[in-house]
Formats: sequence, C-alpha cells, structure tokens
Amino acid sequence: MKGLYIHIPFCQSICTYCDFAKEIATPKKQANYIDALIQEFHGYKEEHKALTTIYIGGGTPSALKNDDLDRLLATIYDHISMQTIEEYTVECNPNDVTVEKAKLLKKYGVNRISLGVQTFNDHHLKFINRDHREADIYQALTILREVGFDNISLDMMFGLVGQTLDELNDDLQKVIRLNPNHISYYSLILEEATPLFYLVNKGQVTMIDDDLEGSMYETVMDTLIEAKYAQYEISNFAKKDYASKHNTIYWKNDDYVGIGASSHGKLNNKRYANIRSVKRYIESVASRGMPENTSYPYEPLRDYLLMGLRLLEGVSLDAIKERFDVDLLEHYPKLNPMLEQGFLTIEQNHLKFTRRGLLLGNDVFVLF
Amino acid sequence: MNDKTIMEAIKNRQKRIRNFSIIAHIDHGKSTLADRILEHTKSITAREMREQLLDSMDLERERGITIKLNAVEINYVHTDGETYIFHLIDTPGHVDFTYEVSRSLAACEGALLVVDAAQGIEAQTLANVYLALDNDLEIIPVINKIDLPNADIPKVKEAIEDVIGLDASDAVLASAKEGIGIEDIMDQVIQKIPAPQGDPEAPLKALIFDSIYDPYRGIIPSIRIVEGVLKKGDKVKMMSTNKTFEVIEVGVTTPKQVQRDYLGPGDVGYMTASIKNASDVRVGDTITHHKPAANKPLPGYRQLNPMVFCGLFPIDSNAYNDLREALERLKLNDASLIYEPENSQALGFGFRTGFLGMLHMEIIQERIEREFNIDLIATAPSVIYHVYMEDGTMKKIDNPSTLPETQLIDHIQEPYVEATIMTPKDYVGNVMELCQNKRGNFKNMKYLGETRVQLTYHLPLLEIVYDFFDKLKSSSKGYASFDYEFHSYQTSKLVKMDILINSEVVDALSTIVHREFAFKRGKAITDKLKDLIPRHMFEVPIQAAISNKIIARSTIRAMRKNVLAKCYGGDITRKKKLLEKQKKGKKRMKSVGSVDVPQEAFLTVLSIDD
Repeated sequence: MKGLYIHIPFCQSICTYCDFAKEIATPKKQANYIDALIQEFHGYKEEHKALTTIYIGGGTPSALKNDDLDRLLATIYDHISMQTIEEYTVECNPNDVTVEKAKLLKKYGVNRISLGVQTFNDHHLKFINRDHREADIYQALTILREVGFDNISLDMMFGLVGQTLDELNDDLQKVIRLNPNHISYYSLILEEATPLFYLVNKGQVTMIDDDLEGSMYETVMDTLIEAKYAQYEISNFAKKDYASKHNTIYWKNDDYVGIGASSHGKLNNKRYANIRSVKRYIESVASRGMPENTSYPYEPLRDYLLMGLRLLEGVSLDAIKERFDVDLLEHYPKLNPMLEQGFLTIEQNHLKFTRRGLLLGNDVFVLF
Repeated sequence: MNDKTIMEAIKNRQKRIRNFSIIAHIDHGKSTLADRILEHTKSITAREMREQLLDSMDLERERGITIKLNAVEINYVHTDGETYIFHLIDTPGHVDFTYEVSRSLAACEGALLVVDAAQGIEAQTLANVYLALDNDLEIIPVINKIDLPNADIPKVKEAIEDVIGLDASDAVLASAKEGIGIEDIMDQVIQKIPAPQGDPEAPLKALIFDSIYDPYRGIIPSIRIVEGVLKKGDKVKMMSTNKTFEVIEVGVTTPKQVQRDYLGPGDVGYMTASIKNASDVRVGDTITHHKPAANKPLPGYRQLNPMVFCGLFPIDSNAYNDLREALERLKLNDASLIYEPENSQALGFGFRTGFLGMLHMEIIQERIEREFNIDLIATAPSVIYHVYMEDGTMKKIDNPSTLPETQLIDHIQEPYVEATIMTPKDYVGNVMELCQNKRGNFKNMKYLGETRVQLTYHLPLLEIVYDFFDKLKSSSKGYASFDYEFHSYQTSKLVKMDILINSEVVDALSTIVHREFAFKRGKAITDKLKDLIPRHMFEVPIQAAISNKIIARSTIRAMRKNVLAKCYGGDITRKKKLLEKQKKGKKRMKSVGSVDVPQEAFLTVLSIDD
C-alpha cells in the first residue's frame, strides 16, 4: 500500500482551535498554489504507479473554486490509473457541498468524502468559528448521497469548550441517525498560537476538565460500539470493511507521498516535511521545480510502535521480531508493569491497549 | 629604610587611621552610603563605580544584601590639611551572620549607626548596636533618607536616645542617595573615632574578620593588625589551630588589592600565604608570628556552629559527584558550611548540610544551582535535637528520618532562641498571636517611645526555620523586624511524622513536629502534596503517620485521560514533540517508587498555613 496526501491550505473562515497550515487567500494565490501542486505532483512520477490511496485534506479542499479543483483533479486523473486506487478521499465542509462540486468530485474518481461536521450544535459551531450550521450538514449529506457517494465519513469533535455530556449524547444520536460508514471522533486539543489558546490564557474561557473529557471519550466509544461501529483506532470507528485505507498506511508505517505546503511524506525509510509557508512553497516550486523541504529522522521501531499501537488490533510481536529483530518486552522492560496494571494486554501475540489504557496512551508512548 | 624609621613611619601613620563600620537595617541605605563615601573621597573613578560596589557577588547585588564582608582603604585629605586613612569595613546585614558582624566590629574603633528617618530603629539595628557597644566602639548616629516626605527627624532622634541611650543631638542628617551630609560624616569620623591603639613593637596580633577564596592564591584572610607588624616573608601561625604559613604578600583593598611592604597596628588589609583549606582561616582567630609569638590570642574567638540542617540531593543522581565538588568549592571560603554524605531511600545519594541560618541555606542552594548548574532537591530544614534515650545516653539528631524508635526515647529537647521583635504598637496583637501559634513563651514587652513596642519571646528554633519571618512580615504589614540568638535546649513533646506516598514512607519528607500540632500539620502537608504531585495512571494516597498510625490522608485521583494528539496527514512530529514535552516534565521530578514527585514538594512543610 502506498498513499498520496495533498494539502489544500485554504479556508473561508479560520476555526478557533486550528493550528494546521491554512489561510484565507486571494483567488490568484489559490490558482498559483494549484499550479505549484501540479508541478510537485509531476515530480513524483515514479511513485504514481504504486499508489493505492489518495487523500486531499486541509485546510478546506472544498473551499477551492471549481476550476482550480477541476485542474487539480484532472491532472491526477490523467496520470494515475483509477483502477489501482482503492480509496480516494476529499475533505469537505458542509456548506461548500453543492451538486456541481459533488459531481465534479465524482467525475474524477473520488469515492469517499470526509465531511467536517465537528458538532451539530449551532452554539458550539459558532464558538469554534465554523461557517456551517446544523441544517447545512443535512443538506450536504443529501446532495452527496444523491450524486452517488455512499462512502462518507463524518469528522467529529468532543470536549468542546463548555460542552456537556447531554450535548455530546445529542451529537452522537444525530451521527448515528445519519448512518455514515465511518466516523472520526477527536477531542479538542488546545494548541499554541490559536485564537482558542489566546482566550484560554486570558482566562476568558476554560477547557473542560480531564475527568469530563475522559467520560466523554468513553461515552463516544460506548455509544458508537453499541451502534455497531467497530473502533479500529483510538479515534476512528467504522462499519465493516470501511476502515480508512489511507490512514491505515500511516498507522502501519507504510510509505506515502505528501505534496503541498506543510505536507509530510515517508518514502524509502526517509521522512520529510514540506515548507509550511504557502508563499514560500509556491516560490520554491517556481524556482527549483520542487518545494523546499526538510527531512527528519525516521525511527523505524519507535515510529512503528507510536503509530501501530493506535490501532485497536495492536502490534504483532511476531512481526516486530521479524522486522526489527527485537523481543519487544525485553527491549522495553517498562512495558511489563503496564501489562500488569492492565493498561496493555497481549492477545494472539498482539500487544494492544486495553480500554483503560486507551485513555492514557501517552504514558505508554513516552516509554519508547 | 631601617627598622627605626619604619617604626616612626608606622606610628605617624597610626595616628591618622580611622577604622569604622556601618550599622544599618536592610534597606536603610548602608550600601548606598558606602558608595557615596567612596565617591566623595575619590577612592574610585566614576568608571569603576558600580552601584553598591562593596557588594561584589552577583547574588548579593540581586538580593540587595551583603553576604561577605569587605574592607576598603580610603585616603582622605581633610579640611585641616591632614591626610587621613579610613578603613571602611562592611558588615553583613542579616541575623544568620551575627558572629561575623561581631568580628568585623572588633576590627573597628567606631561605627556609623544609620537609621532610616522614616522607619526608625529596627530590631536588627539594635542587635548590631549592642554588638558594637560590646566592642567599645564609638558610635556616630546618622539619620538617613531625610529627603523622604515622611521623614520624622525629631522622633528618630528621640528613639535613638530612648532606646539605645546614645546622645543624638549631634546626629548627622543625611541622604546617601542625594549625597547630603557626607562631608559632615567624614568630619565626625575624624573627630570622634579614636585612632587605633596598639604597639608596633609588640609581638604580632592580627584579627581575621573575613576571608575570600582566590583560585590562584588560595584562601585570602581579611585582617586587622592589632599589635606588631606583618611583612611579606614572615612566618606566621594561626593561634586556634597552630597551623603555620609563610606570608607571600600583604596589602590593602582600595577596593582593588594593592600590595604593601608591611601592615602596622590599625591597618586593615589582606595577606596571602597559599592557604588551601578554608578551615585554616577562621573568622575571629588571631594570626601571630611563629617567633616571637603573642602569648595570648585576641578575645572573642569562637567556632561557628551550624544551626539549620537540610538534605541536598541532585535531581539527576549522576550529578552526585558534581554536587560534592560544588560543596567542596563553596566550603573553601565558607568555613561555616558543613556537610556529610546522606543516603535517602527516596532521593538516593546526597549530603546532609549544615548552615548558620535560613538565609545562609538559601544562598548556598542558589549558588549551587546557579554557579554549578546542578538541579537540587532540598529537604525541609531541621535543627539539632537532643534525644535522651531510655538507657541514659543522649543522641544529637539533625535528620528526622534518623530519629530512634519512640519506645527507646525518654524525652527530646529542642533548641530555643530568644527572639527580639520590634513592631508598631498597632500590630502587637497580631505578632503575639503569631508567637503563641509558633509555640513561643512570652518573656517581656517594652514600649520604645509612644508607637513602637519591643517584644521578647522564647521560640523553638524549628518554628523560626520554617516560615516565621514571612508570617511576621504579613502579620505586621511588613513593619515588624526581629532578631534572635540561641538561648537553650528545652524539653518538648516532639514526635516524628512520616509521610507516605502510595503507601511507602518517603524518608525525605519525614519531619519532627510537636504532638499537639501534628494533626493540623499532617493534614496541611497531605493536602498540599495532593496539589503539587501530578495525577498518575493510578490513584495515589498521601498519608501522614506517627508511629505507623495514620493521622491524615488525602488522595490524588487517577488520571482519566491524557492528550490523544491525532496524527494528521502522517505528521508524526507533532506526536513526538508532545511526548518530548511530557518526558522533559518528568525529568524535573524525582521518582519515588512509581510516583513522580516534583522538586518543590520536598519543601511543602515550609509553606503550609497553620
């Protein structure tokens, strides 16, 4: 399996919590960016044949104007055989979804939509500065399904500022009623250099406390599992056969190409990150054909464990023995107390988190 | 020059010498006054002038207090046409260093008593004035900060006369900050302070009143020649230890060190003799010639005994040797610092370290962290207990964790100090209540003028070591001042209180407490620890126990969840950064069993509210 990730760093409005590379840009800059993306895409010609998944994320890919989007998708369509692509995802914001745009995506082989819902609660949507409201979500789903998308993932969030368990349960019921094939449910994380960080530092708002967040996480797991979704990763739930193939590449430490500003890639045991600044990304592609990037260490075993343990199936001790020639529990003896205390368990020779351990993953990850 | 002309020169010089110190409460302007005197006598150029020049260590300048003594020679051409030689001897301004103050006063014939025109006399000033009077010093009152809007000169004069019994009619009215009254001070120094006595032809007697450490020249004692003459090449002997040295260099400080051929009676300067060991240069000791030796040392020498002890442990156990080296280095010019290896189950290898008092302890800890770059855990300070055993023997215990089993103990005595507290009368009630809470025995109350009161209490040193000073300040809006000296050992109902974290006794947190205060203190400590220790993956009980009986408990609930940073777009660096942050936080903590305890937790007992 080999993935392609494409980053679209543009948004209509900036969410209060977001620290990913994104900006509100002029149409001209967006067009220039797409040109640069296309050029970088061609730079990875040798990888095109082996690709099995494509993921266009952001930012907000759906915020692109249709002609920019068309140029990008057409280029991909012309150079990659859609027969070999098992999963092709584009992230969309609910109020960007129009029949025209949905048809455009469909035409170029996109077969999975990740819809950025976050919450159905208008009050919370407003606070986190999303530009859609509850009604937009239903409309977007209707359009997507009418155009023929049957593989839809909802991107959700819990632990919002001031959120109550009742509100979370309300969100969960609405998610289940919409019956998506896949759900990502992440907790709100306070990142530096975000408007939210500023508000919290000023004492104007407070993040919800860890105990409530813990209860919310358990509620999410219990409710979705009850609704017959399988939790296959710390934050991801899917109906049978609908686990994200692209994200599984990350978790299994397989190779992926990342293109666009701030994108990360891993190829041939090397990791790299593209320059974060959109301006410098465009300039460097224009001047040298490929963007500025920095390579950073690939730590095979550590990366394998940090990513692999996120999967509920855990990591195979046999596979680790074979791939890295280490006996994991001897290599990291501090794993033993974690097993004894019931944060980890070994089943069918796979090391994996228990339910209790899932909530405290970092205390295991710091051991590596 | 033959010996005879040298003697003539010495005698002629002796008449023109004036040796004096400045006595003042912290913040009453001692260092500023010293700076002005140096400026006024053109002892230093403007370029050399740094604020508060005599305070040379960074730490001193930052804290605005004097730790080490300094002596400066000043040549001053008076209006009478004569050139006088002043030796200005600076004294430390803190109660921990009372003995050092008394020795530096013994090197003088006079003292300037600096009193803040707005604040009046403070307890510490009084203590030092009494030390000066004990040394028969001529005292010149200086009322400083007269430029302040709330200066009350008549009231301060009255207080000087009432409280100390000095004639204040000639008191110099000054503002060191504004340079007012400096000329007047010089005049009175010359007129009132006697020239030093002392026969240059008698056997040598030189008083050591300080020392500094120089990496190239060894320990350099600051000395005052009382009798005889000291020259380069002389063979000298320390009278308390009988150690002999050959003098390599003698000189004076101006404030730079300047070599001289010899030092005679009344001279204040330094000598170098390749002295390697700080314990060979003891403040208060007398230096004499190997031959002919003085038959009797100068009076007043005593060995300094540490009164406060604590355990010092490196956070990183690999830094144990670095810590030992740091203590060795600091001891080179601080003979009052003592240490011996200590092994704690909770904290590993470290040192039990003894200090003169709390400030001394803080300064040493800060210097180790700052100058030697070692992260330290300091345990709560302790005093020396006299533990009388059932079998009739007595053990001196300075470490709570080594207190013998209760059933073997007959009774325990703890050191008491006599504390003199001065406070505006409005706060007398608060201060008395505080002393009562700190197990004090009331001894005396005296009005000093209409508004100020002097209280005398006998207080356990342990209580002073904790947070007495801070509490005193807060219960008097900062106006009360105090001074103390050791009084006696007294029997108290003392017990050892252990702290258990996750059911394990943490020896470094054991304290000795009064039985009646144990419950309250135990509760306060466990509550405080609960807030300081981060939540873990499991529930952590914190208990206080006396002889295995739990008297207080609090619980740190298990952590429910930690940040589950998502791994977006294959960016693993995010996750790794977060984990590095978590690891770094852990590094600053000490693992006690399976619990990570932050540095400051070991000092909780110091900062709990009664």
